[in-house]
Amino acid sequence: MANTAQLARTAYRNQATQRVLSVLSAFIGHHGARGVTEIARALSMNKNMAHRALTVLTHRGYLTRDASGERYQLGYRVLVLDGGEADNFDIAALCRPYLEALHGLTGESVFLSIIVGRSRVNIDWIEARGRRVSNGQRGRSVPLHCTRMSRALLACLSDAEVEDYLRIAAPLNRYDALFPATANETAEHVWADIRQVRRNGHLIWRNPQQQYGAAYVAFPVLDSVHRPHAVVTVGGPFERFGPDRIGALLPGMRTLLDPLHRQSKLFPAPPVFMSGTL
Amino acid sequence: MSSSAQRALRILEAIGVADRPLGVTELGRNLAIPAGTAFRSLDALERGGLVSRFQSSPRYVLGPTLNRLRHTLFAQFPIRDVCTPYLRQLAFASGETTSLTVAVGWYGVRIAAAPGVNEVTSSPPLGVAGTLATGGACRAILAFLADGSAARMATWAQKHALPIPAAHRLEAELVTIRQRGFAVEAAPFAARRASIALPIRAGGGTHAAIAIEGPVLDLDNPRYHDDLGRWTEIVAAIEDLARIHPALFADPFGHLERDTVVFDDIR
Repeated sequence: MANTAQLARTAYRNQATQRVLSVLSAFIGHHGARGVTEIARALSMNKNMAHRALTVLTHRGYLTRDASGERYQLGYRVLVLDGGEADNFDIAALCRPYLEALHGLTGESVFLSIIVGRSRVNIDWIEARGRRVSNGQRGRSVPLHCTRMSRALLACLSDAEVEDYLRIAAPLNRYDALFPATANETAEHVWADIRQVRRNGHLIWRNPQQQYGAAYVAFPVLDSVHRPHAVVTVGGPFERFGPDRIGALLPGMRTLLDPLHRQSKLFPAPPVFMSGTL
Repeated sequence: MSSSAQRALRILEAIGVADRPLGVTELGRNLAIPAGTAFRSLDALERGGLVSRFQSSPRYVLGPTLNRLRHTLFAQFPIRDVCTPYLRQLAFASGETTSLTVAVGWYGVRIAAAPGVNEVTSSPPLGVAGTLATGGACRAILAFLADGSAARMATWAQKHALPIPAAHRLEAELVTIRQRGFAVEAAPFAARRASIALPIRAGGGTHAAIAIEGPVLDLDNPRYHDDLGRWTEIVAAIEDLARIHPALFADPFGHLERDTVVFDDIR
């Protein structure tokens, strides 16, 4: 009899624990604060039970009262517990195997670029052997209208964002000395490149200014709502990586990048702000 | 108040701060809980996904639910998303791992990082780094908090028996950081080299700092580095954003009194 009573008490205690833990889990995915009534309704428990669970969790720092003092938000205690899983989605780590595969397929230089502020920045690349195309300093900022590699990223923003950018970046020729490949080009040239990216899902171009010329093809990497994570670009000397070879390799490059496009949709792209310094 | 739930949460904390998987016996002994009781708590935690067995062994690590809670909380720091591209730019430019630390109470919490591209880089986990007197990023924040903050923090630390440097030494270092505009921290594995931490200043204060965690500076001449100007410009671009979009730099715990935030297992 005593054993039965003891078992019943244990079961009750475990139920109480489960209730507290389920209240904590109810905050997953909720970025705003939650109230007692809302929690009780969501978990089909009465308000007293929900309130007791919230009190336990607040006492231990797993939850805190929000600024209004009436609702609850996740607490700072959660920050100290290390789950051992990677906390950061890293676009460079995700793309690296695909850069290597593209380099393996084409034998050419491959670049990974992201938007930082109102600029493009290369954050990874693999250089081809022999004669190769080079791409400036590590981490150098290139305005989003300068160079077609940048425009492949600009094309992934909304029309309103592109308009904002072009207004802020005007006059567009102020960086012509630094980026001769797109010198003397107007907003209409920028829009023409943007339309090509949006129509084809990639951008192909030639830089005649570089010695002997170089050709490139760029593929935007997007999230599930078509915001830009990055752009992957393959480039090589024109005599080796001309239009015929790019055309022949294009289906293979697209197939190779398909899994990357699927994976990149699982993570939201970082926000882009047109304000701030260029 | 449910003592069984309190016990389960204490067990969760013990597993969460341990540097290796823990078994029932060890947990029971460390927390002065009978093994049977500890086992029942672990059972409840495991059912909730808050702990899981380490490689099918009888030892426990934190579970997937905890990671989802952490991700939810990290998402409440919009500064994290804003700074991520800049962290990547700095990581690629410097070759070293870069990180973002924010102040929560009198603690610094490392909430984002971008791995470096050098052959050898460090990458400590995200989470609480220590009090604001600990390490370059934390001190870079403390140096630019309101006047008297260091003294307030010292009083708080004394109350909770937390070790912090002597007041005169800490204040002298904070003065140097204010004059220089950034903090340095001696690198543990490279003689006379130092990492750098730059505060993100906006709205007359700061609650965040960006650190380049590798030994990028000469400890004896930290102002002299060819790329210092570029790193400063990158952080200045973030400060510009903070001025234009202050909501993106909102602190989800900013409404709490600093003194009330206590991690009783961080020293």
